[in-house]
Amino acid sequence: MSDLLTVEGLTIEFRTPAGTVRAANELSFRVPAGRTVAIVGESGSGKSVTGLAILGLLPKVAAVLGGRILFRDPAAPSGAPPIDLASLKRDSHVFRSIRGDRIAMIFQDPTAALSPLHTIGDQIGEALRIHRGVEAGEARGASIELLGEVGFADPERAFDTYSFELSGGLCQRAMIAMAMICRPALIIADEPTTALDVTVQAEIMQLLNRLQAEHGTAILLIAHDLGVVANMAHEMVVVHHGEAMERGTAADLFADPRHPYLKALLHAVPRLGMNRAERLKPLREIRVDPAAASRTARDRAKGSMQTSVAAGDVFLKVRGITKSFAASQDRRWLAAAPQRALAVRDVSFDIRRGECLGLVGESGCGKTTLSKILVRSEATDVGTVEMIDAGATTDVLALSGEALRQWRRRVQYVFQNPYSALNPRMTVGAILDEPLAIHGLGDERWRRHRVKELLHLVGLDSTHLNRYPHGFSGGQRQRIGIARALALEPELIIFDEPVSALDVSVQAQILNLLRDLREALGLTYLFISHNLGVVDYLADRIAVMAAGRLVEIAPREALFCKPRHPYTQALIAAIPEPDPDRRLDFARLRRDRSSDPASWPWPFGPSDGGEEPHLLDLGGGHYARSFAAPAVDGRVAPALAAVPS
Amino acid sequence: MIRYLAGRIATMLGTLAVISVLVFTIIQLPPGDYLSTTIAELRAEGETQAEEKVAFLRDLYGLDKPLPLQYLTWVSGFVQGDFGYSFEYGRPVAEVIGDRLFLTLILNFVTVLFIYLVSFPVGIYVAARRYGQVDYTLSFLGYLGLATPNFLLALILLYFANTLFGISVGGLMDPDYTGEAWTAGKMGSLAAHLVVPVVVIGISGTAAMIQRLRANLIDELQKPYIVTARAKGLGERRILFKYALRSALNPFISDIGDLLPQVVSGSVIVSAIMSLPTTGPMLLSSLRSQDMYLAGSFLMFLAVLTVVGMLVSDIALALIDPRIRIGRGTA
Repeated sequence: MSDLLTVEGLTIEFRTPAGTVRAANELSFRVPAGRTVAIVGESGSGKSVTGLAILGLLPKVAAVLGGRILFRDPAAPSGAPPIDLASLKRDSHVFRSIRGDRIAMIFQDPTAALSPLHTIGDQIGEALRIHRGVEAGEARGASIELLGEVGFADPERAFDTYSFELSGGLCQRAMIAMAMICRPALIIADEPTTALDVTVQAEIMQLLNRLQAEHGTAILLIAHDLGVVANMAHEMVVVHHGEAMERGTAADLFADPRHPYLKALLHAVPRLGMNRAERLKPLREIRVDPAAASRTARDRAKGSMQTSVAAGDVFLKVRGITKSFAASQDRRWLAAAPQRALAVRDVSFDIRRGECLGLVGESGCGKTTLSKILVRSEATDVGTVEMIDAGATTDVLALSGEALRQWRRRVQYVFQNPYSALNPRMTVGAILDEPLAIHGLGDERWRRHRVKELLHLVGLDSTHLNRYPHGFSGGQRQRIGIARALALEPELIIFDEPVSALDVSVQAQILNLLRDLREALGLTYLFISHNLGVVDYLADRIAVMAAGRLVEIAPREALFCKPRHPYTQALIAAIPEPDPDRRLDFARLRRDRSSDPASWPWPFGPSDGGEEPHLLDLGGGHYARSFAAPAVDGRVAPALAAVPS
Repeated sequence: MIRYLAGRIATMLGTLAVISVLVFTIIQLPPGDYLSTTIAELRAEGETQAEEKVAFLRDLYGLDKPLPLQYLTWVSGFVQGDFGYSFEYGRPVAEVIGDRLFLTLILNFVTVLFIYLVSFPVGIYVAARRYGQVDYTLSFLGYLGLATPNFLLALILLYFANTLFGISVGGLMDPDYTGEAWTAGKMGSLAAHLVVPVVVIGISGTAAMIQRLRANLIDELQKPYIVTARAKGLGERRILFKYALRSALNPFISDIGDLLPQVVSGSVIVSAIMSLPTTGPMLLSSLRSQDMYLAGSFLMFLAVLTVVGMLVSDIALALIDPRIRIGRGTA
């Protein structure tokens, strides 16, 4: 009976005007002291609700219908009976004294979870002040010590900063400090790394693991990413529609998943170095309608006879693209001239016909800006984009009028957020018809026919035509977005993080669909993502961007086997794999921001004179941004001297 | 912070300069001026002496000079505290509006104070007890306050103030005190007479402010950082005051700048109905009779009030919101 927390038969219902939803149904699990238990499930499975219920933080529309949440506080006098949190009044003094003191919580989006109007030091020390009644000075001392412990380089200064001055990773560190300050017995971590970049995610996982080892804090990890779970959890509970599907130690469950749902989840996640022939297995497979695809392909052959060029030829030649934005929002007339920040810096690469080029990098590295330049929705400061078509070269950036319209037909875009990329006031039929109408293609009958064909192409059917986007799930909406991009029979489709807002099983559906479509229609993809596993599943060649620079580009095998650039190495080393036997080598992770060019050693970083290296041909289609060919060593992520940030 | 302040003040002066040009231009837009109408009148009556006086005035204020020069004369006088000459009253503008300006300032200051003092606690209360009985009742009363025409409310309240408390109808003090020196009795009479106009002028602003504060607070109370604070073990009261209120204050404060001119112009009709000796009714008549320096002074007075209100709210915002204080400099 050493369990810290025992949840028995927890049943939670949401009562909304739209109806009653059971968010948790007879859910039972336990959290042993000092261990990490993961609740795993897709969005809407009830995992976050469970976390909130434990702390009595459920929204007012939710009601706990039954079950017990027993908390045995190791700090309580021995022999004291466990407290049933489910029966406590949420505003009661007893519950308040547990919240934040004995059980603390970490949230998904650290920038929103911290008040922007109070210094992080104030918010961290507050828990200590209200629970322990310590003086402000003492709380300050303890907070600063803890800020140092969670990895702030200058904790004294960090104490007085505001959340909006910090990066997402640092905000999450501050959140962790806030949760740890009272040395709780249990921390509930609700998707603690989901909003963070992969290198930062690895740092946060490492931090949580380290704090657990040092302080014996139990962690209830709520996560959908099996890679994160495999790297942190000792035990896990798989939740689906509010019910526990499977329970056990992480090692057992990953090695031998029994329940079909967990098996399906495991098979739906792309892993690095998957065989090309291997397909992801989503919970529900969608197949491209081969008839529809071939019909469209025929249309295409008819319509574009003159562009009969072999696959593998260069289609787009991007050279020296540089783009800066005003860094300061300050446009008042007394302000000094605004500083410019380089979003994209001297980027050159080719896109070949029929290939899928993956573009990887963390948020803010300039990958979206770059893609916007290609579709001409953003202008560039310097650089050229040339299209090579049947031997003729066209300057894409100089196109205007009708030629630009034709270019827009050839290049289409699929957006990250399927919820905001579709006009909620238009029916699906109208959304798909719009590009055809804008370009004046066909008569009304033909267009109606074409819209139906497009829906079939992405695995939806014509009964969906008159419905509005809000009636569809995220995955279905993304398919509508893909169908819209296909409407004009483009040659190149740019995908900007098309699956990052989706659950893993839906993600697998979409990734398979993209694979099938490319094969059936002979499309060229530029696939942008921060998730290397996803890129690896689709791409033939992968380009890596960091701080506006394209640091490495190579065929996918070469990039994963022999990454040359320190940033690529750090990126690959930080990807958590859904396999507890292959945990991340946290000791090798670099503590500082690996995307900062100043931290890259010679020959990768800028020279002392501030001169930047260019892409260097390493042979075999492998290029790295470097002054000299780096030595090939088998090691991934060599231990580099950490540069204090 | 000092750079921020300097920038704000510079912007404020620039705005005032532009407004002064606009005011001057608009006043000059209708054909003729006060003097030309007067001359026409006098000529019809066969007066000659007056014409000399008019010529003297025309010369003094440079009415025969080109417009830009007239503008400069006017503005430079303004800076030195010489507001010009009211043709209608035959006295310097400063003399004409002196007392009225003072009373207007008092009336408006008390009204704004009233709005804030009432709406702040009520707004917080209804937000904390949202969707409850008190919330609905007060919200209903608030909408009633927004919808009731001011002049109607003024008449009703005046009637009751007179019948119940024996306060004389209209004006800002008992008629006996007009023109007297400021004594305790006069002050008391002023205070008693202020109640009704302040309530009448302030009621709609109060209702709007309560609704706004309530909406902001309810918005803030659903933000993730409130859940964080709750998860930390804070009590609801502390969450409300330390976190939610702090964020909801921003619009509350930035309203100061909007509120001042709104109250001042909103009080014109009420002042006319209640025959308050404020600047409102006089502004109206001076605009009608093209008494340009009087009208111009009033308009500039309004502009200064607005701009100063904005400055005050900007400074207050910078003081309470680090995003403005720090964000501006670094982001």
